[in-house]
Amino acid sequence: MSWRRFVHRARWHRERQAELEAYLEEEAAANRARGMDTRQARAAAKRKLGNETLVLERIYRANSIGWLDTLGRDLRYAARLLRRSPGFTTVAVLSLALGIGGNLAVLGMRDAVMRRPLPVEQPGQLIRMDWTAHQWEALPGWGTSFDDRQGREINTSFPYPMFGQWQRENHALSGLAAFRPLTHIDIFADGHAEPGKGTLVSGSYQRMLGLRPRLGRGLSEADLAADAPPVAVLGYDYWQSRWGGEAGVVGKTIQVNHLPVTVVGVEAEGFRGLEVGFTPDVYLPMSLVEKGVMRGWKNPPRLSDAGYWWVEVVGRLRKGVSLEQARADLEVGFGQWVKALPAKAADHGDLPVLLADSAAHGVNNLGEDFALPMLILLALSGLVMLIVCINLANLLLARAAARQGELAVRLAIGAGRPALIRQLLTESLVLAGLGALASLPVAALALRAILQVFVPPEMDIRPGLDGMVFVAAVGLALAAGLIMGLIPAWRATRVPRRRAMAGGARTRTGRNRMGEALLVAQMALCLLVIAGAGLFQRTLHNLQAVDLGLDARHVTVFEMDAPLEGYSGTRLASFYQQVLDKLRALPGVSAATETDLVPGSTSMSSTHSLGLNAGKSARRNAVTYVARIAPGYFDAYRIAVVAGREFNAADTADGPRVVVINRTLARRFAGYPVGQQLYDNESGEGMTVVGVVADAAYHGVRDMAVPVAYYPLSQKPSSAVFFAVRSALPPAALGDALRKAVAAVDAQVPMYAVQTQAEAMRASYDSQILMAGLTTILGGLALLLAAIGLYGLMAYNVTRRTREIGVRVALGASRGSVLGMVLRQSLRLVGIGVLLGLPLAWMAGRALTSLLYQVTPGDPWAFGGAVLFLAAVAVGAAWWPARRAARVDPMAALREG
Amino acid sequence: MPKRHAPPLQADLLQGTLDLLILETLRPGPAHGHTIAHVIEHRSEEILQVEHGSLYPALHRLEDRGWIASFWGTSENNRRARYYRLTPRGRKQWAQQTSRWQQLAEAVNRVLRPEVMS
Repeated sequence: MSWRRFVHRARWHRERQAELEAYLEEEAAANRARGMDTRQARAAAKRKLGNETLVLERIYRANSIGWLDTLGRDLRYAARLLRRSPGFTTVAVLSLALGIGGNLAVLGMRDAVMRRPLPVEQPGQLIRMDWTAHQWEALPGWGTSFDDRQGREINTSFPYPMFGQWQRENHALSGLAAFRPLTHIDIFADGHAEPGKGTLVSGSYQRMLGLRPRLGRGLSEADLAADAPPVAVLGYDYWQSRWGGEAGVVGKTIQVNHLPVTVVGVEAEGFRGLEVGFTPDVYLPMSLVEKGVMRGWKNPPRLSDAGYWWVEVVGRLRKGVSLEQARADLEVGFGQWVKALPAKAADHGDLPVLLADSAAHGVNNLGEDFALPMLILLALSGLVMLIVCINLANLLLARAAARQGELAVRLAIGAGRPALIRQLLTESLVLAGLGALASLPVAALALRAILQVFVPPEMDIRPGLDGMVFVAAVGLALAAGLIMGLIPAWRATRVPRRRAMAGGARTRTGRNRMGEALLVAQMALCLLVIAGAGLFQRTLHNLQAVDLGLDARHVTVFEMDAPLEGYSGTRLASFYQQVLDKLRALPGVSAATETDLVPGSTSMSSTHSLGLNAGKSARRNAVTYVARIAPGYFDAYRIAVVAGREFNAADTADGPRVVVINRTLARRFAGYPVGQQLYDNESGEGMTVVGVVADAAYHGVRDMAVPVAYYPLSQKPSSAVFFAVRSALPPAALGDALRKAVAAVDAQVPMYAVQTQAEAMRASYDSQILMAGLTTILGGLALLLAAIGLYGLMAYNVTRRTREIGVRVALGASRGSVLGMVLRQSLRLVGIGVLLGLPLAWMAGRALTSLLYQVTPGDPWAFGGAVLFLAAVAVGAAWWPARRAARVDPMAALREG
Repeated sequence: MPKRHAPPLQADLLQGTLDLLILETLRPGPAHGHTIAHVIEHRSEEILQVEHGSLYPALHRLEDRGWIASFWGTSENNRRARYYRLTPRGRKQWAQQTSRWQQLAEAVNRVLRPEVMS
């Protein structure tokens, strides 16, 4: 109700005057009635009313939103002051924008990867199941695995019948769903095919998640029946981008990997599947796998095989059931299941342990890899923000000191101290507000850069500057404004009035202790950030220096999946052979090979258990990854053959079975068993070991010693294969040549993911590159801010001490000694900061150990580098102020004082 | 007639008391500032000398709280004047404050003249 008064102030003011005037007239009339003359009557009325202006003033204060007016005045005043010193304002707003923007970007990234709740009903009730075992390779199957914080390898997959048993027998969950991401499928619609992504889901998926389809219906149990017609539900994003949101799509038939399926619905808007970063284009009923949607997958029968681990499982907790209760309940069935498996899997005496975790934010197979790095980035960007605040506090302190005269005058003529503090705080809050505004584009740019540079293109991560981030920006700006404004405001208004009025600020020679303390703190924080960045740079350096056991340079890889286009049996083998021949015949190609395993690119692998007859009845068993390769593989990758030979054209489909093993696997068999027989523990098939090769970085750089057995593709064909080509040609030109060569064989079969081997292997460095890159950016930012802060303080100190320096010079101090004095002061401050920062940085380094590679928490390179950088800043930033000090003209300085 | 032996009290010494007096004055019906000031003076037999200037901020404070509302009207002498009237909330306030004031007055009297009360 008071708004009107506030907004229409002039009118309101006139009305109040009119009201008082009405009183005066009434009173004067009454006075006249008592016999006074007109003038007397008027004067008496005025006396009765009292001081008219004062009354108006008091009416005004009775207004409840008078503070708005004061605020408006403070804001206008602050804006005028900031406009008057554009240099200061620009530096302040820019550094705030960088500080806040950096924080927002990290927050947005973290939010997108791990904090955004799934857009399903009651996401807080969702849990995911995983398991871990020391020798998890014991179980056959294809699953995604990742390392958790304790360094355990977590496997996410279960046999489909296990899921079925849980569905029937559990007391903890109100529902369960199984799903299986399909990383590439062909979707053929309206006359052309496109590569896409899919997810196989159980019949319970839609209902358990409580998803309301955007169009048509979701998948149900009925769609999983053996005789049900094949159907699909489209993902909302795919429907929008590929179909333009056209409603007529429901009822259409499309082909998924050549299997005709009818579209029955479009999934809920905003739902992008359960797995973070993997947005399915189509959702397919699990049963399609037995109708041949994935051609290579028919054997074993996936839906009924009790020992094949391949689906991921999520569940919804019943009310009042805790995660641990649910886990314990499900483990009963799980334990029995594992024990009932064929003996060879349980042989190891190391049964898998069931794990359960919240899936409120989605099934996150990156999460564990991202959680700690994100936390660290958040901490570092928080530190940088703090440095920004300290920096600005120091600048504001210096400004306030320069304004002491003005403030003293204002205090002297009756401004209250709270009013002055309010005014100064308003200034810092205005700065913070401008900084927050400017930080939004900074954050958007930073996010774009992070996404483009650091996140693999196949991952669908959408960090957005949404409401949460905006709130964070406002919160950060407020905090920054208070932190950087309170100290200067409080101090500046504490000046003894007389002294400041006397114009003393300039001639005071006392030390600027508060400013120095802030600077020392800033240097300590800065050291922390730079040393942290150094540790990650060293880690990246060490990782890149690891001997990968292979030569990734000049190798280009791509993938083909010819069975999707109808090839099978001998036609398939001869198709791949023709492609290989064409590749080898290309000019500039020195070697080409075919494989189902590309080093470094994969976290999914199939495993086998192999046995070696070691005399009499003793038998050694080992579980190993397997790779199927064509002749020329070790040559193309330059992997050393340590003993025996590599495959050659003589290892044909009908020839004697052969195998090559790597050094780690050979070690499990206690030696190089060249010429001996190995047995596949599942099929019982025997094969001769013809060679042993060096270990190579298949499983990421950190873990080279994984066992691998190589089979010739001729004897164990693979449906989808990678081709690897070694050539000195530039990648772009080579890519074109490869496409032409493949098209000459069959233009219908698409090539997937053409990339250099180095790119493929980068996946295993990704998080390290991310950390090293981002922390270095933050470190650089911290250093820049430290330099600005130091420069500001030293320049201010020199200005303050101009007279003192003038006296020194007049008394015979040399220019050099003045220069040295200023530089020494700067070095002393930085030195104290470094001494305080070093133990902090060391402790921080210890907390980072799990992310470092062959770097100790107190790495001398990282720490020494950080100290050197700061020393350079100490000298560099103080140099100009020092020069100015050295050039002080004693006469001018003394006269001015 | 003013009672010379009792020096007039400054009503604005007692914040809140003035509020109560204004509410009481407005209870019979709307009135403008000049009337209110004089009514308070008369009814207190001029012991309570409202400083007329201080009346206006009080009126605005009450209006800001929503206890009274205002409108422009024409005075008995045919002049344009700002009238104030009680709102329902103001009426409630009047009831509350009156009873509280009476309790207070009784309590103070009891302390000052115990012999009469007992």
